[in-house]
Order: sequence, then C-alpha cells, then structure tokens
Amino acid sequence: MLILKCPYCGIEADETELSPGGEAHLKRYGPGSSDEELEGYLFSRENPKGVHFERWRHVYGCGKWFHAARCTATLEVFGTYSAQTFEPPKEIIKIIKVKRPGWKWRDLS
Amino acid sequence: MSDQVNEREMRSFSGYVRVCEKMTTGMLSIRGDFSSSEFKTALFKAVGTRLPNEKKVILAQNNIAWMSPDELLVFCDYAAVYKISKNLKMELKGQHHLVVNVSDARALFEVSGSAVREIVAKLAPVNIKALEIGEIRRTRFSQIAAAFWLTSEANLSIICFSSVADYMFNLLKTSSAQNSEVGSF
Ligand SMILES: [Zn+2]
Repeated sequence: MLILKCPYCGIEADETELSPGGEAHLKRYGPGSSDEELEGYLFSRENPKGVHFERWRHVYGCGKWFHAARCTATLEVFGTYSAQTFEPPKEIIKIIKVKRPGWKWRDLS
Repeated sequence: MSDQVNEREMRSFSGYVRVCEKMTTGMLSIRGDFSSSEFKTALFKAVGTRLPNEKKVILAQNNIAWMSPDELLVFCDYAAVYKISKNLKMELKGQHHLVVNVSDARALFEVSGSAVREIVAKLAPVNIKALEIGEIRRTRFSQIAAAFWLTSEANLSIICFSSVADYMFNLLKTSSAQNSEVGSF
C-alpha cells in the first residue's frame, strides 16, 4: 500500500484517495518547437525501477495537485512537495542521495 | 431553495449504532484567501465565526469546517442560508472569493453510539484511532467521496453529495447491522 502525505492539507492519504498524474517536471513544448521536442513532450516518459518523480492529486480530499518522490520497486516514499516548482527540492534530493547512492533520473543524479 | 427537500422523510436506522440523516441542514461553501485579514473580517461579520484551524471543525451553533487550504463549509439553519450568503457576498465584494449555497447538494448523516469509530474503520481508508474530536477528515466511504468528524466519542457526523445519499445510507446501515460488531475499538 502506498501512503503519500499531501503537502497542502497534511493528510496521510492512502493511494485509493489519490489520483495519479504521471511523470513530474515535464517541460511543455508547443508552437515553435521542433518535431523532436514535441514528440518527446508528448510521448517520452521515464519508466524507472527505483527512484521516480510523479504528480498526484488529492482527489478524495483537498483536491490539490502535488509532487511525490518515491521508489517504484519498494514503494518507499522519499518525500512529497508543492506543485509550484520546476524541480525537486534540495532536501528531497539529499534524502535520495543517502538512500539510493548512484541514482539517476533524467538529468538528475 | 427547494421545497422538495422539506418533504423528504427523515431516514434513520438502529443497528448497533444509530444512523440518522439530518434533512434540511443549511450548508454554505466558501472559497477565499485565508491569509487575508479582509477575508477573516468578512467571515466574522457575516457568519459570526473565526477561521477554523487547519483540518478542524469549530463546533458551535453554526458549525464551520476547514475543507481545504482555500475552502470552508458552514452549517446553519436551512432558512438562514440565503441571508448569510447574501451578507457574506456583500462583505467579500472586491475580493477573490466564491460563496455557494450547497444545502440541497450535500447530505448530512449523524451516527451515534459507542462504536462510531468502528463504523468509519469498516468503510474508509483512515487511521481512525488517531483522529481527534473536532478534526475533519475528507476521504472516501467505500466508493464515494465523503467527509466526517467526531463531535464526541459517541457522535459522528458525515457529509457526502446528496446524489449519492442513498448509497451512503445503505452503507451505514450495512456496517452498523446488528451482530456485525468487530469490537476492535
Ligand atoms: Zn490534500
């Protein structure tokens, strides 16, 4: 069972109270971008066994979107954080560095 | 305001706890900026209450519940909603806000008895042992969205959308059926 703490209302929400929103920190490429950039934005997704960054919505609660960093293999949660950011906060990266030495995710490591 | 709701019969059920639907409760949904002092002043002037703390319900004559970082729900007399909402809209004029009468769109249930925590434990994915009295928890009851809070160790209030009130009533009936006690609380 996956339990994520919503950073907006502080509730320890069970996975069934949340709605998954896919990979986090995607950059939107629209008009004026190259075909490769648009294709990457639409279709290229990470599918890691290990550290992953995702978007979730507290749908059976306060209704807010937030971010989560977790391990897809063990369901260990490294932390949840605000949706108003383009990258994971330093504290969470620090936790991951300790718990998963040598980790890599897109251009983060 | 609808007259129809007044004519619906009050539903209740007595199992090992008592379940009762509180018909014709006035409910007002409010959104705004909780950090703004103008918002707090408007709330106090029109509703007569301070802002509840995060995840709390102020248990008073007119209960007021914290629903999210920018949403509140006020409970009052069915007949008083119109006046309160009109006053609040006036007080909030010029501020970014939303005030909606949801009395007919929400259903309120009260469950009473010594095992009310167990009724929740059967239906919602919540650590019910840790819930304090007066703390509101939004969650799901089986397959529907709901919110609940304890007003005492023997009294539980639950709200859900009125479109699924029948489902909620049947759920509560089933989980409070005679001889279905688990006895874990
Ligand atoms: Zn939340």
